[in-house]
Amino acid sequence: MGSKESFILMNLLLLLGTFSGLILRGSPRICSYVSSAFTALAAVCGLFLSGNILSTGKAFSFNLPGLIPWVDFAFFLDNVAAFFLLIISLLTLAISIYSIGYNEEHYHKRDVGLLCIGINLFILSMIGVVTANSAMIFLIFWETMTLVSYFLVVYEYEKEESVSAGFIYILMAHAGTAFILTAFLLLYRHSGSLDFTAFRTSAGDLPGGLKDLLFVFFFIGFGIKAGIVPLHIWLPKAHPAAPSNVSALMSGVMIKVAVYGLIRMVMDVLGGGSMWWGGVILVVASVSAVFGILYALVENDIKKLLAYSSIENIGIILMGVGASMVFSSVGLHGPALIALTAGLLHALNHALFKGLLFLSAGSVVYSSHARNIEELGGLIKKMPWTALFFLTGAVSICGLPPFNGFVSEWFTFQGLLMGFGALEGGSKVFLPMVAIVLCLSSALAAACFVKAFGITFLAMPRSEHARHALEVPLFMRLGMGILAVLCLLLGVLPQYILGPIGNVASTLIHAEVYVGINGVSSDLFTLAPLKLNLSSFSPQGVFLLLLTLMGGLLLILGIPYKKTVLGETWGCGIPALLPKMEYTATAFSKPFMIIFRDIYDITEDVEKIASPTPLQPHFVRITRYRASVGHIFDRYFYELILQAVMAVSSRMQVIQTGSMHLYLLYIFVTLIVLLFWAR
Amino acid sequence: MLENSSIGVYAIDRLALGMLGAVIIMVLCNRLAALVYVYAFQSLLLAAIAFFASSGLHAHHLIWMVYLIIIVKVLGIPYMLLRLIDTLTIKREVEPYVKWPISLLAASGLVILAYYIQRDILELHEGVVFNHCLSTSLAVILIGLFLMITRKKAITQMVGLLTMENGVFLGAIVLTSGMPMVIELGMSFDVLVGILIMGVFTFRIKETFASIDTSKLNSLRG
Repeated sequence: MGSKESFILMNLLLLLGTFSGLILRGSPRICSYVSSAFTALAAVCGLFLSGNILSTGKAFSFNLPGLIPWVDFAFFLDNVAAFFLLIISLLTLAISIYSIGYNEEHYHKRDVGLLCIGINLFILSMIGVVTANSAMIFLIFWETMTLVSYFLVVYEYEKEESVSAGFIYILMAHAGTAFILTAFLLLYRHSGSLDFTAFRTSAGDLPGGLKDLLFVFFFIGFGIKAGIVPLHIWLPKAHPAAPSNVSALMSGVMIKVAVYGLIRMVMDVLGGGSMWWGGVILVVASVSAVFGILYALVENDIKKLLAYSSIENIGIILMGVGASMVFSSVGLHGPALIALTAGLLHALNHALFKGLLFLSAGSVVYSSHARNIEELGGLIKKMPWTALFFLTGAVSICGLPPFNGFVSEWFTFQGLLMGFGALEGGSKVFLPMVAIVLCLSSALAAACFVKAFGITFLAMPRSEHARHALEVPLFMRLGMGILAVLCLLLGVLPQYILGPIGNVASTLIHAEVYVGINGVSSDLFTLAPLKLNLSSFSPQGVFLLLLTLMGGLLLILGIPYKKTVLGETWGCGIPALLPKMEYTATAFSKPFMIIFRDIYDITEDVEKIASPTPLQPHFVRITRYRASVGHIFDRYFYELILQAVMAVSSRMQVIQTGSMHLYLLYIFVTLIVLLFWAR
Repeated sequence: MLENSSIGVYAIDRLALGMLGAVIIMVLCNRLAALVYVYAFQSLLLAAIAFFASSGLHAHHLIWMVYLIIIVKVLGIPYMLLRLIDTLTIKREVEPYVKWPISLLAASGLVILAYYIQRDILELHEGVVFNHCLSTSLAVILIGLFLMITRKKAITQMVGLLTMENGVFLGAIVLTSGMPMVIELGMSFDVLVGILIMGVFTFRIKETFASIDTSKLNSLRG
């Protein structure tokens, strides 16, 4: 089966999944099985196709002529598109299997068919975005992606939260599209064609100012979708509001599609630019990483916590991309290659572990119906598999060996630290400083996920919900299991994926000369960037070391020989230990709230209710403590925009009389004036 | 392009003038039902134009447009509109803001404006053989909009919009000798769905305001 056939087959299967969702809506069980099966098969096709292109390096283009006049449905899959198709397909495979089990929650409560249709169309549109080769097609799929994901966010439409999250999402997304559209139109005016190939050839002789403007527009437009700070406000609202399998798709894949758009347009089509482009990206990436994880740390809603952590990870991905742009602007292709490889690898890794985390969080919500981790606890005994998978995801996202997060964060550090040796002047210090920010955010991420895992899964159940939680169905465990195994595999054997990703990176920075060097030097056991003997590590070695250490420890402690003796936990003499005595999530994050007080914008409120009898007014019976975290960007950025819009609107209200006829008259007069003017 | 003397071109030109006549009769219509009948007649003229264009301009796919126009615009939409009038209105008169003589004067002014604006375009393209079609189509669009502005009831506004649509169709047929089929289908579908939605909204307006007089909508303003 060639590339073309598998491309067509993949899209056909997704369409079949969509239509089977439509036709079988009446019987949710059959609908869920059939539609998810089609999705999974499409994902297998996608894996085959992307594997084919990544291994052979043969780009392939496909035209679907004559569907709509004057619009050429041109698709192009080089290894950049294939790499992102790989991300989409991997997640799609796991999520479609997971969905078979997960959809049971919605049987006879909501329309499962709609969910199946939405997921299939969502995946189809994301594949369309990464494979489109003309601005028109790109925008069509981009908008389809936005609209379909909007409907998926408001799937649980009876909840007020979903609807308002959806509104903010679609508002921000359309603002982003406006920027992208403007940039495309500016490029079109210059090149005279909507084709990306034409954009690419004409990008060379763009005037400098226009090029800078295009970069800013693309960065804002794609940045909104990627969730960079301060354009992130929709993300922590919309991602958690959707059903969990959709959250995994949105956080795992959709924001990567935005990263794809950014690097495709800025690095490939515009061909990179001045050094400040990379600088801007690095600054925004650092801010996103730190703020994302800081907000995640104080969040007690498990899905919101994961959504905020996505913002952090987008920051880390963009650190790699930004550093690469800084390097390539001064012609340092080697370090640029390393940094971009790191960014792309982290995009893949983040898709895997954030997908895994969202799926396991979805499992927790599925069986406990609680999203607030203060109501959970003790789930490791009720749901051992889910706990294992969540732990795998948490360890990966913290960047601990032997899991995949470590490899990509290590490479990001290498890329950033190389700046000290390779660059001159201010950027010599600037890049290592970004590396320091990355250190901070990684440490905070570890704290955040200790909290997320510890409070959710350890100790005693804090509520009835958690007490009655049961392990999730087989299909859900299977879906999570795939991702967990991949997290470990990419952590232990990253060599196999680093080669293809290196090729992708060299395509992007137009460093065809360097294909031979391939950036990463990797033999069987060690990884080192650029053979500089700067630093190297051996993922397999680390893995074996850890394995031996663990085995040795078990043997030394003699755990395999000991009999398990069950006993009471010592409670300092208190007869019964109650869940109320446990450590809470809020208490866990309190030290961070104190340290980063200025950033959090905290409002605290302590209320003491004295005894009702007049004789003992000084004996406090009940103390209530409330703390809420404000978002400084809401206050200092969006409030100002809102005020400006309101001020303009109140002026504009003069012409808004409410009379339809007058409105029509405005149109009429405008039309006639324009007709005269254009004559 | 085809020769000037062709019978098809002659017919198209005269039929287009007929459409202009129809829209001027619409300005004078006093009853809602009459307005709809004139609209149906105008659509029939449009269908005839599409028919002549399909043979005369060698745009054979336009023959499907003829069927489509007859089904949707001559039969379907007028039927729906008449039913709306039957169920919704007590007073079945067109209630204008502007009296008949002034309306007529304004309409003729718009016709002159349309001819004036098109003059240069006709000079630019010497191959264009239609003397009246372009100006007529613009005039129909402008007068349709004028109808929407000066009539109070929601139904008259729907008819005004549909009239504008007819003008756009006329322009599209004679300028491009038939758009690609997808676009023609899209436009027809657009009209149909638009009318359905407007019908629903008219019902809602009736429910909320106990009338379909759109001048009462200004109480909605926040």
